[in-house]
Amino acid sequence: MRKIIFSVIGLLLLCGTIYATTLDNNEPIKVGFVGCLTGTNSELGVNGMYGAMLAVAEINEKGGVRNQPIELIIKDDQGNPQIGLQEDEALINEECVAIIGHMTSDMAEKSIPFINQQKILMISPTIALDTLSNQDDYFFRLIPSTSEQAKLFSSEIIKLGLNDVLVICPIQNEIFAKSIYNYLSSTLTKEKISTKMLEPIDFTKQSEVDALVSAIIGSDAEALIIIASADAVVQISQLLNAQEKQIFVFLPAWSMTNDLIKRGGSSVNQFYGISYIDYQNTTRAYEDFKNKYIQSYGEEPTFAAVMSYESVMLLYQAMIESDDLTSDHLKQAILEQEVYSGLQGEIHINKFGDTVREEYIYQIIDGNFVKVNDDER
Amino acid sequence: MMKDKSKRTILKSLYITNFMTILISTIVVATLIYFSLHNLFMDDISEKDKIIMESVSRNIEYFLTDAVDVLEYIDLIATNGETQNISAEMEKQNSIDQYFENIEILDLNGTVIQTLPGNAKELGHTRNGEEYFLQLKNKEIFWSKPFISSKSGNTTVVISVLKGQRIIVGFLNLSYLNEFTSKSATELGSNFLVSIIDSYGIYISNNDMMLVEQRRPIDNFDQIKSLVSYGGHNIIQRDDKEYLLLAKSISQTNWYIVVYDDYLTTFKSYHSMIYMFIALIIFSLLAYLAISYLRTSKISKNIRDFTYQTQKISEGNYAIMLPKQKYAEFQKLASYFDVMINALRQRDRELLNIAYHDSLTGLLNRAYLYNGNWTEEISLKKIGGLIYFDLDNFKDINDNYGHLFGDKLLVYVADLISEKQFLSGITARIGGDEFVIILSSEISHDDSEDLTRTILDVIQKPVELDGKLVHITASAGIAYSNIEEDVDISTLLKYADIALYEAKKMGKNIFKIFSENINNKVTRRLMIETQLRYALRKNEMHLVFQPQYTTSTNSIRGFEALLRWENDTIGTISPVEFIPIAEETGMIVEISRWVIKNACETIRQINETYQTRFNVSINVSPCEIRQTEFKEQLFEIVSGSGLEYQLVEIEITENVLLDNTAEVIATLEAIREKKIKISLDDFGTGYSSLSYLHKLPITTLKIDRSFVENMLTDRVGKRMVDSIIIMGHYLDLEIIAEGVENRLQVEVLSNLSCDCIQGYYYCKPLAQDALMDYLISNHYL
Repeated sequence: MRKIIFSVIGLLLLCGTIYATTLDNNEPIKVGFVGCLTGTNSELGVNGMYGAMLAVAEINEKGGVRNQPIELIIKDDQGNPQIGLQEDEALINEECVAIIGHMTSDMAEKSIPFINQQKILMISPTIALDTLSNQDDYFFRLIPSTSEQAKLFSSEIIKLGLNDVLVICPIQNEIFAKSIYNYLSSTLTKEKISTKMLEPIDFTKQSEVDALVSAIIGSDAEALIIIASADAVVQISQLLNAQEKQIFVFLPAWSMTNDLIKRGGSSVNQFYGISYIDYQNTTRAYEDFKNKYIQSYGEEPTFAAVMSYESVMLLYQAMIESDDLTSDHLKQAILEQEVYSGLQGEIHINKFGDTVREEYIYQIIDGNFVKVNDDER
Repeated sequence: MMKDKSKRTILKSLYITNFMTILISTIVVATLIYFSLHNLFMDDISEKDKIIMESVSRNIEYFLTDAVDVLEYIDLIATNGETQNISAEMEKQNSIDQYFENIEILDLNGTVIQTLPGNAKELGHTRNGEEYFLQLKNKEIFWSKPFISSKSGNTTVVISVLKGQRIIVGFLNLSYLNEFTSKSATELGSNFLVSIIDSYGIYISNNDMMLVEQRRPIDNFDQIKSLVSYGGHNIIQRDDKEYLLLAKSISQTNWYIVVYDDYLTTFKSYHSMIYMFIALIIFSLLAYLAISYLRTSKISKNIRDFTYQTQKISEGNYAIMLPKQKYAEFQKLASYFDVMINALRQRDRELLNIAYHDSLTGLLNRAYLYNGNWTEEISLKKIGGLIYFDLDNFKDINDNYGHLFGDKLLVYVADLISEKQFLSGITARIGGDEFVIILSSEISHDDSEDLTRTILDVIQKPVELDGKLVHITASAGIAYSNIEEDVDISTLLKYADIALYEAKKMGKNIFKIFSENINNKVTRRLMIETQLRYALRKNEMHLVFQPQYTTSTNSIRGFEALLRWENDTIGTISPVEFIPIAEETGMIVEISRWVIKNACETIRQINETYQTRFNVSINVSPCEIRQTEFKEQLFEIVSGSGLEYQLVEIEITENVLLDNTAEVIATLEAIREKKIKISLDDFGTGYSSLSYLHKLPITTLKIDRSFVENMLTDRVGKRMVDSIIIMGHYLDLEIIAEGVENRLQVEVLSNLSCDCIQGYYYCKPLAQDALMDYLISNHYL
């Protein structure tokens, strides 16, 4: 009898040990995501969140990283740098090995110095600030800098022979807008093209929107660059359309979503915009991603979703190649790789963690994004 | 005895069996009941949750339906109302429930033609790219995917209804759902969480509005869709809690209502019931164990009683009786035990009876004397003494009349003794013809002796049995106990036996009382008997020779060989003492042969050496004469010694004729034929009659010393000697007088013409060397 009892106890202990050992191996790897999930720029953050979630789901379906699943810890910076910093700290406290985010340039001022100090790897899908380029730090990004978008704007404006350029933006993400404006201003001024940036407004206040539209209508501007979300652009486009104001409108990648076409309708017809998605020549990887995205979230993925997805995949690649999950080794693994396969082609990451990738300029024609060919530019 | 390795007892076995049975049964029942209750509770909770969910679903559907109704009404207003008032009417309608954030009426181009007054600036805006406009090409009503309104920040859904030439678009504020779901949760209790998600699993309403505002998808959307498909409920983990999950779809919008029931909290209300149930089970288990213990203890005690009783029976103790048993089976067993005990008692009594009683006579036996329960008859403290009876010559009775007759005689004697000793003590037969009376201490010595005498007298009376008249006698020995000391039966028996032996020695048909003197005699006798066995081997014996003188010539006729024995332990032992012992034990044969041989050889040596013709007279016991092989051995020894037969004389006594007279005479005659002389020793002291003198082929008559001794002092004695001499001469017998010790006796005997004289006057018996010296010094050689 005693023998039986001791045997059972021994067997239970053995099973428990095996189970415990097994448990240790299945502890998830925590990866943080932080973006603006609420507020005026929430579309960017939410799409980025969806893209990251899809990437994590795919990685875990494959078995995770060395049989360890990835757990995405999601935080909302609410478009507020201070809150963004707090969420960064919270993610580090939750022992996240890296952070995907933030999504807007306004967050960079506080968050980037913090993560560098903490030596935590941060990969931003959409922060494009020029000032963050050429820095050997823990900040990586999958979007070209604002100057690249501004270059495209400049070349298109020059090509079109437009003389007077007006730049408007919301008070949220003003830094991003100013970054573009600064480059535009320096470039277009050389071409003797007038460039002016109006005071940023709060697009939630109709009165400010009305005033802004009045100012646009009353100006002599031939080109209008709206550095805002699709909703904000539609607010302007509808008013301009109602006033039958003819003006060339240029939009950053930020605005170039299907919501722009849906909500803008004919009011956004002929608008120009920059995108990092080649809608005409999609790859199998992109199509699969897009279909899964639509199936999961009921809408087409924006560039934020694409880049957020690619950011997670970049990190995943680094986790596999790296000896361990420390930020230094992950950074090293990313830099050693240099070239990554994105959903639609190669992504080149230089030694500073900055990205060079294909950019496209589109014009909205009858509710569709039509690529403006290089030879036409 | 093999060591008992088994430690299992019935009690332990019963305990373990009962405990295991109870435990297993309890576990099985408890498990069944628990799971039944659990399932019952779960079903109950699930049913309640379903009701809740149905209620919520119904309310949502009512809300959505109401919203559509509002738009329908708006269309009605638009149809019937004046254009400038339509907007005010819309505002008025919307203000009733305030469902919509905005309501627009679009033309078929998607242009806003009417809107709420507060959104007048939207007039003319185009909506031709919106899904809610484009989709109406295929349907009459469209529900958009919920979104967060950039204007209000609320979760909003757009409902567009195609109505003829217009499209009514409502921007439905779904915050009502939040109020509703949170209100439902509040009313239902904090156990419940109600979430509403869209067809992609994105939160529309939830207790944690952050998830709604962040447009987070629900974690387990696939599970919810399956649940909706197959029905039932699931158990999920959420926020470190376990919830019962139910889901239902809202048909209008393909949204889902998800109810999370913190059923474990609900279960808490059942916990008290379960705890009570568990407590009841434990209590029942303990109670049952206690009862089982008591019951099995009772049974075990019964078994122990039986075990104890059995042990006592095996030890021979039948006194303990089993107490009255509680259980019928045990009572039955106990009653059979009683029967068995009584039977054993009876059997033991009978066995004891058999063991302690003589089967022939019915008297107690030797075993009883040594082992019997004296308290039943007579206490050992109260024993005054013991009389030991032995029938005289009983062997002859058996030999003559047969053992059956002998048995009847024993029975007769037993009855006789029993009758006589009545109230004096107890009678026992301890041997073949041996009887014992254990005397009570109350009977005096005189009475004991009288009793003994009486019994002996009665025994010796002739008795007729089976038509035969027999005479028997008995001898007895009495031993008295010392009242001051503890009585030892075996010692008493021994003493009485010694006294009996003395009585036998003294002639039988008498009794002797044990004394130290008798004890000493018997002890000495035993010692002599023991030492006698090794006397010859140890060369302790030697012969002495006493000359016999011829009175007429004063020469030596011959010598009487006499045996002497010097023992290291005892010292010098007289032939008077050891010869009878030798005769009784049969050792006399060997001794006699030795005597004859040595005597003949000694005299033959002397004769050869000194050219003499001395005789040698050798005493022969009657028992030797009676032996059939005696004469051959005698002839052989004499022949072997070299002495002439006619120089050998054997001396016999008168009692040689007591038994087998004819055989004895024939033996003597055969001896006589060899010319060996035969001398009748101690003539006049034995049982012989004068007629035997005539029969016996004797050559010599030896007058006993007692006659010679009385010859000078008693005239009759002298005449008797004279008569013997004359008679002997008449019979041509040579007469030798023994015990002559003085000259006067010599003269008288010479005058009476006695042929030979033997006695101390001439010479005492001398050893061979001394004899030779005597003969030489006295010129006999």
